[in-house]
Amino acid sequence: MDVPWIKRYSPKHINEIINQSEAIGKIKDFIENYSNSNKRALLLYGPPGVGKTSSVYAIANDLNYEVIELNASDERNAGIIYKRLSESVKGKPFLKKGRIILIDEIDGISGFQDKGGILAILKICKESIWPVIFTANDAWDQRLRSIREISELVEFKKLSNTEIIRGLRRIIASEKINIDENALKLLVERSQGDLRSAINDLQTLSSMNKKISSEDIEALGYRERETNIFRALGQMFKASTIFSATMPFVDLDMDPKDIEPWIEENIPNEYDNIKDIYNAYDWLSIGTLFYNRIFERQYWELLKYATTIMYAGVALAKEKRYNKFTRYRMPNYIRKLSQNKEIRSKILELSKNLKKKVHSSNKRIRDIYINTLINLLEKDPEIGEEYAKKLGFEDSEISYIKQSIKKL
Amino acid sequence: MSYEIWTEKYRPKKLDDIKGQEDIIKHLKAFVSNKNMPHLLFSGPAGVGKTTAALAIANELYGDHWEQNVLILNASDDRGIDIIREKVKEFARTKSIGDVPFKIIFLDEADAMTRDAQQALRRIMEEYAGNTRFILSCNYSSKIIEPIQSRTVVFRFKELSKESVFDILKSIADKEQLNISEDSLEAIYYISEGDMRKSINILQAAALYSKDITPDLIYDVSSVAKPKEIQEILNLAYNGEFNNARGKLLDLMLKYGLAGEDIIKFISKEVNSMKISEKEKLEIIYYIGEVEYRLLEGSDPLVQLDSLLAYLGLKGIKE
Repeated sequence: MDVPWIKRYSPKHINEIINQSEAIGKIKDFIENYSNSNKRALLLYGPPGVGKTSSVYAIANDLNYEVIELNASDERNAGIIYKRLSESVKGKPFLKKGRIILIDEIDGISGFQDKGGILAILKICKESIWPVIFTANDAWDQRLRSIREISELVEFKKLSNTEIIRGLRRIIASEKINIDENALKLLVERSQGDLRSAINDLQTLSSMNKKISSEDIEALGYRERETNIFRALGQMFKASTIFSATMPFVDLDMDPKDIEPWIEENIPNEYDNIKDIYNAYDWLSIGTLFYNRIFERQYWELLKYATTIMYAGVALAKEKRYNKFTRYRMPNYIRKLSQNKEIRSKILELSKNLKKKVHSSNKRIRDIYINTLINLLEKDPEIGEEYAKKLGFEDSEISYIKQSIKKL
Repeated sequence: MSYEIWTEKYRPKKLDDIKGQEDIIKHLKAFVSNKNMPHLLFSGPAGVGKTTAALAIANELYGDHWEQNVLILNASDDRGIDIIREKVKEFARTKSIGDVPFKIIFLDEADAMTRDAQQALRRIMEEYAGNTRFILSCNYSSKIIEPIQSRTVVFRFKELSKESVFDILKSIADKEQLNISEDSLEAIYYISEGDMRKSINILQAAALYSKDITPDLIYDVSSVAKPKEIQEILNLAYNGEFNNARGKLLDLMLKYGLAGEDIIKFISKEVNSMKISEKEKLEIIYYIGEVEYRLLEGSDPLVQLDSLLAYLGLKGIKE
């Protein structure tokens, strides 16, 4: 494949960036007034593919700055970052007017959890005579707490379908792509506000077809990983020997812990007899129990027992094979439940005032106050807000909470 | 004032105001009047007055200076004995303010600490015994190592009686000018199981809606599953409608943000109201116990709940 389009068509100037003018203004301000700024860094956050990194480059280009970037593909832990950047943050560039230190996808840094790593990053910010900019998908990630404290937060908005179309049309025109309107619509919907993935898909499709139709988009279908797990599930559920039940998962590049929800979701989908369902879940539960013990003690050589119990246990739980076609489902509930849990613990992060007042542990605070808060906000936003104020939340926090529970 | 949490507003400030723990209070008052006390260990369920008693002691001993003289730590949040040691060291460095010759360190949820951490804690307690007294609190004193138990005076806080809970709630309702019926009090008690913090919080949430507190309102505001909802799921599962029961159960968990452990507790409460033989109930309760045990051991909650529902379905098959 030739030059990736996301590179070829990345915005060169501020005015080419789609719908992030508010964020752009803030970034520009920060860079130009860095020496007087009371925050040491910027934290750009927002969903993937909406222009966080591109914006930094476009602004740098317009201001005649150079960008020193570290991203997730660089081999890095926070300590290495410090070593690599400690010179750049002090020196002056040869040709350009100034310099921007960009640490991309800070939430993806390994070793970032440990104290030393964070300290190294904070030290960079302190020593830097140039503006430091971080990007992250999720600004409220627990691990980013100390980064949040020294940074001004800048939100990047999700792009609407119309905006994605606008971004794609420029490329369609310049590459002379033949794509029908319906196909374009489907492509945009698939992207879910992520312009980068839409452009990638467009390039893939146009390299295979002269004219792109709706069927071609559907053929992209599930992402690769999902078709594979569906196939493995099918083979496992129909298997009647230990070997044929465990084999399908060997080549699958997935951790047993991540496979388990797929099995969990599909047992009652494949099996009809309640005896089979019960036996299958009983085996699966013993398997996960086993897995957890191995994990706790880090005895990974015992993993084969856990996986055999899980896969063969479920497969052999049936009295006889079901001769039917099963359409396997994605484990949506698990995703929702874990998302649910995550949102609740983030709200807990925000409840410092409450914590000071009520003399109680995080778990108790979550069980009692946070759960009630979410419940009230969902039932009746006005009353929920009143309650939130009594708990000592500030207006900006309340609006963040309201926004995030919409995802529940 | 809008920033006002009833669980704090109505937290008793004086030892005498604490309800339902009269025997313990008598002893604690003696410590206060002598201005001397040993290390203490408070054990008992959540929301029955352990923290309140500790804060009341502090308040009566030090009055306005209590905050300078008391360090509150939580063993399950202040992760690691080293962090605790640092904080204790820092705090114990200075002398107490006022005429009481010691400072107080209140360590909540001490049973969340590992045995090794507790050993270290014991040494810390000894090291700083000169000018500090520890009050440890825990749910189960059996989870506290012997050497600590033997160095403390243990007070076992009882579960609050229904009458005590009702009395406290009624007096709050009076002060806030609420009308609360007997069955609403029952509803609060069912949900909170005598946990005062939970009870008062539910009352405050309900009062945001209306001065007239009804059982429906109570269930509405307290994000817990209603007994009826749980019963429906159990009956569906027992009658062989596994998929239906599973869907409803998952919806409940999402709706109320319940963890697997929570929902198991609700289920075990509701088994008794199923219309099946006592022998079957017993077998089901046994299996629920197994499920809860596996959960504690770290198995996946959803898988556990699935297997429980399937087990009910199995029991429901009549020969």
